[in-house]
Amino acid sequence: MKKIAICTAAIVGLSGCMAPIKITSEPVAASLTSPALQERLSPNTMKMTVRAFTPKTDEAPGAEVAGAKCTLVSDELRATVITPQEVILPRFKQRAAAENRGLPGSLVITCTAGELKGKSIVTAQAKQVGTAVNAGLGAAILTTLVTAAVATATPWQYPAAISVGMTE
Amino acid sequence: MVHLKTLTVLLAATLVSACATPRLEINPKVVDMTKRVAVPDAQLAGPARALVRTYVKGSDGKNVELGNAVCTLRSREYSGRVTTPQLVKYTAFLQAARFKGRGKPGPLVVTCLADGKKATTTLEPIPLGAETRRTSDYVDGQIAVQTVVLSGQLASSYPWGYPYAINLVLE
Repeated sequence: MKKIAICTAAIVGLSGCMAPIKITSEPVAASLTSPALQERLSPNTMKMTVRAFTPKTDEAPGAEVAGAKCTLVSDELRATVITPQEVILPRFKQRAAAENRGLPGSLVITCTAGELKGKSIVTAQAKQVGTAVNAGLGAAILTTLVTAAVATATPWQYPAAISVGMTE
Repeated sequence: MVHLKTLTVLLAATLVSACATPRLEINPKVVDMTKRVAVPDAQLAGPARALVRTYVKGSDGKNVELGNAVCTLRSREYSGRVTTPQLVKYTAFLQAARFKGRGKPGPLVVTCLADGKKATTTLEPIPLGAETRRTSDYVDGQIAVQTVVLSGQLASSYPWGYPYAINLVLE
């Protein structure tokens, strides 16, 4: 079985002092897996930047990977990007009557670039907070407290940036 | 109006100093669980770990950790064998509506034997990240307990796995 390393999904994951690679391609819009999902969407969309990195080691700093092909898959969405690139994602209405208040499924980002592979998982939140399920998976890292009032009124959305760790 | 319980996150961190009862040193070798069935890559989330510790009742009624118990772990997807206290590594499963049963793996049965004593427990899969996480084994000489309480709906998008701390009391 191929070794697939699953690395950290960082919210603002640019490491060290390296300047990120400039994004030159246009954002790509994610598609819905079913037209019926349309009624769950909020009027506004958001952009998520997808970048890929090789891990930092004792011998070498991590480096951003340009040209990695990444597929984004959830129960509701599909998209493909070439790193670094932005993807336009819908926001999902938060509704008390809906199952799980309308929370969309986790978004799995799988990237390949030559022999390099990586996978990250991000979950939607009711605010722009960073919940990243990382390689440890022992527990999600909750970076921001969300107040009750804000949380019930805000559409579900994914983080604005995701970094996918790539290994051979 | 539905009262919000959705995104309330309670983070409690408790540090117990080095005067806490020392735990046995963990076997440095991490056991890779053996896959019993093939699971498509698309259903796999990433590596996860669990720590198996065993205890016996002391004369004062309190649990005393017992080392070198041999434990077998077995689920529909995995099997493994550890000598306590020891870590196991396995791959967690994605939770999503597009998978049958939301991708939930089977329960993990853990059976431990030592000194003629035995214990068995069955662990249902849980959404990792919504569990209570004990980090004591990463903090030498201290016990750090972090409790993360997530709402039900958030937990519905977290990967499936098993509790990190698997503790059995042998009788």
